[in-house]
Amino acid sequence: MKRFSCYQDLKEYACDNLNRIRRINKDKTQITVKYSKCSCAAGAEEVINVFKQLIEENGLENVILKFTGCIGMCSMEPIVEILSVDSDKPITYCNINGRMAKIIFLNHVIKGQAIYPWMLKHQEVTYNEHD
Amino acid sequence: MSMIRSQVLVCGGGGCISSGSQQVYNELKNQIKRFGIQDEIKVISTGCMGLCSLGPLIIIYPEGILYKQVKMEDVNEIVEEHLYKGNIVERLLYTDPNTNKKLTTISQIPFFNRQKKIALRNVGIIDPKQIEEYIAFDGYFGLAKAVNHMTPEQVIEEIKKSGLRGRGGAGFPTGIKWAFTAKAQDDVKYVACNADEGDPGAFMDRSIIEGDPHTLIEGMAIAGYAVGAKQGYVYIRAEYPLAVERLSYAIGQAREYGLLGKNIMNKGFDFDIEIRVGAGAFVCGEETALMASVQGKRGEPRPKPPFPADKGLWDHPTLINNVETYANVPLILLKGYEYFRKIGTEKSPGTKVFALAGNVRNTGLVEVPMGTKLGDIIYDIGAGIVGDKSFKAAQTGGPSGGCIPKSALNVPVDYESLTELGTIMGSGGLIIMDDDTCMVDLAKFFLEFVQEESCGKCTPCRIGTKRMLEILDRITKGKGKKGDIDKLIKLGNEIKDTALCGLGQTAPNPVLNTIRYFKEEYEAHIDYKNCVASKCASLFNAPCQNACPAGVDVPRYIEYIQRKQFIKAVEVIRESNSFPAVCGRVCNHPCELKCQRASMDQPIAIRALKRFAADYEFDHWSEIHSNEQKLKVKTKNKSVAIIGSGPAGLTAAYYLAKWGYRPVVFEEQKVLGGMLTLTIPEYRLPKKVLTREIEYIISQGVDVVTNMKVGRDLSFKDIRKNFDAVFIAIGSHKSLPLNIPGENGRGVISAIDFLKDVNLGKSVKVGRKVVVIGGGNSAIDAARVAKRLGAEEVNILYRRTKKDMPAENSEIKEAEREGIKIFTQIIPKKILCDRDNNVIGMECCRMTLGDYDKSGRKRPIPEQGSEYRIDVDMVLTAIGLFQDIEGLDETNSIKLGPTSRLLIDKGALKTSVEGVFVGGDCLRGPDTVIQAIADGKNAAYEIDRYLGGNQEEIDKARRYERRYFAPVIEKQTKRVGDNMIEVEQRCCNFKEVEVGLSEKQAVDEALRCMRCDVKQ
Repeated sequence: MKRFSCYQDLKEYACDNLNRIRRINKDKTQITVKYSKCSCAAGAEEVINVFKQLIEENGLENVILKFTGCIGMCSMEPIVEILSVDSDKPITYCNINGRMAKIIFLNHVIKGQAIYPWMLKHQEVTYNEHD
Repeated sequence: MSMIRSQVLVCGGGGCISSGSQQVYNELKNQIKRFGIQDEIKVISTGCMGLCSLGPLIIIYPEGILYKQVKMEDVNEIVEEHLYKGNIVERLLYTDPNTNKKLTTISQIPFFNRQKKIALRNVGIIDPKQIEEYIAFDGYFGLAKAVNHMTPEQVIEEIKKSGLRGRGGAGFPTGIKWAFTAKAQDDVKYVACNADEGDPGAFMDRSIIEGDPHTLIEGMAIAGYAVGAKQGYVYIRAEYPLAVERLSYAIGQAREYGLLGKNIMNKGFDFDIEIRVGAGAFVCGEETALMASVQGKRGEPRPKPPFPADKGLWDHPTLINNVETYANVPLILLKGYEYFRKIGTEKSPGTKVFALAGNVRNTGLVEVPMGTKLGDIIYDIGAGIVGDKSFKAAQTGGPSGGCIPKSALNVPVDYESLTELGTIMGSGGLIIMDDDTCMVDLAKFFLEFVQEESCGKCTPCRIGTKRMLEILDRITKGKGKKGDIDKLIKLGNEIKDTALCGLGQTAPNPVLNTIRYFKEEYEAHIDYKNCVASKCASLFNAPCQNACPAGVDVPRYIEYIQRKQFIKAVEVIRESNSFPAVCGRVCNHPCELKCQRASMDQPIAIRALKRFAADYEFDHWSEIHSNEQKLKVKTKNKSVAIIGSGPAGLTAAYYLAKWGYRPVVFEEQKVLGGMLTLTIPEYRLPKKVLTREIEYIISQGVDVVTNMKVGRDLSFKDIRKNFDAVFIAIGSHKSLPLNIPGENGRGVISAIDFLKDVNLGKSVKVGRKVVVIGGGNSAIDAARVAKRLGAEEVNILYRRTKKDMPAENSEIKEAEREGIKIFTQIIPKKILCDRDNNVIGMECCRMTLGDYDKSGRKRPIPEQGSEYRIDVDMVLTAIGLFQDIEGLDETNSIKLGPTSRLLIDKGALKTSVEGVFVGGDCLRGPDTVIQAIADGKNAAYEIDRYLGGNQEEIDKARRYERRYFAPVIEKQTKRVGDNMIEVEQRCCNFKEVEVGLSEKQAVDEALRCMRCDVKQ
């Protein structure tokens, strides 16, 4: 157990730790799944399993899988963020299923080709016309 | 779970069809099936997109990508690359891909940019299992600042100054609560956290713990320091396993870092947290019951005082707050109380997290500054109501709260304003409801919940809520009695005053509040056994029949169509509606909006089926009606005068004649039919159909006098003298003026007068450039007629947005297909005329959207400096009609009763003069055909009763055997398409646009009916 007398020390220690982890992950593509009990209900577990399996199958050491809580967009779950090595902005995909996760992995994570149509957009237009 | 991810719009305009869009459409469907993604992708054929030279066109939503000149052989690539793999097919793109590919970052999305995150600041951003990330985002700064640089009193003072109030629902000032606990004299004190979160629909506490557990730990530790407690308890429900797991992990990490445990930051402050898992009883969210449960006792509340601040856990002073309250604390210490006070309102600073649920497009967890308008939460963040329905009410505060009606969309949401509206903030559940929600049923649902969750300790809550539930139950089953509403109010208020704990004291809220805003719905259930939302199933046979103002027995006639007994079907329709062929064409079909089949695939095409049956009768008219034996009814020697021969008047005449009365219809015009004849264009309702229908009504024994205006040619007094009863159904014909300069110019005509002239066969000259002002059905009719009469350019101007247009969607769509352009949020300012007073142009002004008005739509406000000029040589105005009852009654003896659009308040059809009845548009203002028919029929019943008959009882007593003729089709089946003639064939003629169904189509469609009326 550590003990800190002032906040500065605490923050420095934590950031050092974080940076150590980040340095290790610097050359890695990060896949972040927004993971909470509600995302599970929308199918996040299937997505996670697909990613895990693909990372293992391909023996990729430069890809890591991370989790955060949910960002509140229940109607867009499951949500996945990909942060490539060469980019500082993550790309957010929404309403992902297992099949799409596989395609995102093979194209975006491996080849670096982002898949525009599946990215998060504001879906205000809905068409209820009968065909 | 199937979920539509993309919508593919294929242009079905004439130009694109000729370049092969139909084949492309079919091929798309095939290919999508081949790739197995038919449940994710919806293919829609649309009207002309306007870029005919580049057809066939395809747009893929939500990304809005436009492909041009798509050929059969391209379809495979589009489906495989774009829809299946997500790659844009660059070579077919219409626009520059770079402009399309602009990334939207999360902060640009309205869902997020209207939010302000404090409690949820880290949720979804940091890894909940890494304390380092929390610290990197300035985590534990507040705790360090408190123990290092502040006395406990200063911390409490900071919280007091921030104005933070309890986020668990009651909104008690947090600082004061802390001060009470700090003041209590005891060596041992506790800090407790309420993470029980029992409100149905609320889940912000879970989200905070799952996404950012350290903020709770820090908040509690600061509270412990401030009040002098060494131990904290988090009471969390067992249904939240992930939250429990992450919180325990986080507590371990905090201990590791010396942020929990002994001697925190070497300042001699000890604090630790323990988790207590509860079994999830709703009452355990009440603080005294919660504390009992933490101590391992039965979760039951006890009377207060003593308050927890004096005697809480194990009889020691205890501070108890909600998760969200604690989550706000670290940021207040980090950024200072001034920062916090700047957000939100004066009395309720900060933000509130809402769990947005129900019938909105974007559901989710949203954190907004206090004082945000309810309408903004629903329409900007929530992106509005799902489907074609309209907003009815928002429920806040779960079972302890109440509803906010649409008249309150402008209310800034904070503790005070919600209390004023008779509801509470509660834990932040916000359920948005559309007009399919029955408020009585909703109150019953919440009361049922509270009833089940009542711990039973005190009598008002245990027995009182039970009695209230019994009353509600009988109201929803059609057994409500007069006085039930008063009984509910009395019981509710007594329970509020006498129940032991918060659960009981707030339990009657949903009932009292819905009675406050939706009393007429309760009255409709009790007095007329009518549930407007078609939810209380024991009050009606089927939702479609219930939704029809005239109460046409839809499932019964659909069954006859299934049996191919089409004539029988028409007979069933005529029992309640004397205009089957008319309504089969122009009815706005409220029945289809409530069709239960929609929850499975699409609603039954009820209007089209009605039309099919009516057309069948039409085609076989002579064989059916030539040797028809007229039903022998005893003629009653009573006469009824009917003023006006529109749908209301003729319907009343039809039924009165059938029941043996002698009705005489007086009509001002030379033709019968009122608005049906005068204003509905031939291409929607052919004259020969209408004439046959009217002739049939007359043949039942109705006398008609045309060219006779009561009040001018014949005095109302004489009518009163010579007839036993009078029914006034003179409609609503007068156009509202625009009230702008130049309105009297040559070329400005009211749309109604224009349509009348066309329908009466007068020669009408249309301009080259025609502008129609208005957004209702007459505006669309006038525009389509003007186009047919040869106008080169027809534009519709409407002051609100397109989705606010009162005209029917299908009409708007067809008008656009015919090349009419609709410009919204525009208002005319001035009509410009030349020296001879001929219209040459118009000055328009753009509108922006302001506050919400009473109808729940945003009020349009003229935008300063946005005026512009357009060239136009004919202006048709269709901004509304009003009734003109003046001159009818020379003695001015009639006072019209208040209008009621919501309910079929039969009492409202009586005027203040005995024996004089009123109905249709002249009572309600411009309304639908079916409403006028319903009024006509109800007035007939009313007149019958007035003249001593009892026809209504006879009709009501009739029972029909309801059983399945064919098994219900449980597989998803597509609704029959609207058969329309091509746009090219509509040019310059008045050929009927819609073609009826074929016999096979009709029978197949009828078989889709789920027969909600069969109760087994």
